[in-house]
Amino acid sequence: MIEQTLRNDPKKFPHQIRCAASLVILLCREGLWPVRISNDEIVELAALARRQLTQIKQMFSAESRAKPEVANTEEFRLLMKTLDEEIRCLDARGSDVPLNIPNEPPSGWGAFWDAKKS
Amino acid sequence: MSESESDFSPWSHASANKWLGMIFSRSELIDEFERWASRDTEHLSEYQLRLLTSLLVILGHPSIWPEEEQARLSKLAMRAHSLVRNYREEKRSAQSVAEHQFRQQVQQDLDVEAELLRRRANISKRTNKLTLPKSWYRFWN
Repeated sequence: MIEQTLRNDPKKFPHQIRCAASLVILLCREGLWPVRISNDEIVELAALARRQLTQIKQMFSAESRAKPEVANTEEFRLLMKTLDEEIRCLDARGSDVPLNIPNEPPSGWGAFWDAKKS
Repeated sequence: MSESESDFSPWSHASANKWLGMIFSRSELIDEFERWASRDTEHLSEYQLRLLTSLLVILGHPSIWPEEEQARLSKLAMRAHSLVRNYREEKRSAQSVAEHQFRQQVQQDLDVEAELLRRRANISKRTNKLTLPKSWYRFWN
């Protein structure tokens, strides 16, 4: 279901695809994610999620150019930064060597481990 | 909105939230967690117990776990806590020093994971900062 969602058109389902990519970041790991043949499937799924997230970021960015009042807000900058960080997490998942990036959740995810119902 | 939640997370948009609800419902994931947690420690290895607890910590995030299933998360958190306690109290046959050290490390990790889960489910009211288990090293990269 996650993979099916990732294969959808980012223009039509950006939020669902981004949500599916977040589950790839959280769960798509060796020894945890079910693979049919080999762990290469994990790398391929992370690459698919990365490509789709990149398109979503470009789409949001293009939309914002038509609305400078949105593009210049702190909120929009944080959204772009968060998308960049999500893409980097996916890069790391597909890399054989640890990347030199902070071992922290993307900025817009808040305090991931401390989050609980208020 | 939950504590520490951000509007910029991938789960905050209504259509993303609806999609997550569909994923939980179609995969019957919570039923599977409950079946898993209904085993006793004799039929649940420390690895399976750690996996169950860890998945519940990750997916039990308040913006990911379905709001209407919060009570089931609480029950699962209490059950996992009790399994972890049983695991600690189980009498083991004589162990080598290496086995003893390994078991202690597993127990420490399990204790942290169970406490993280109790916090997720709002059962634990502790607020001290928890360090993720060593074996979760480089979770994000």
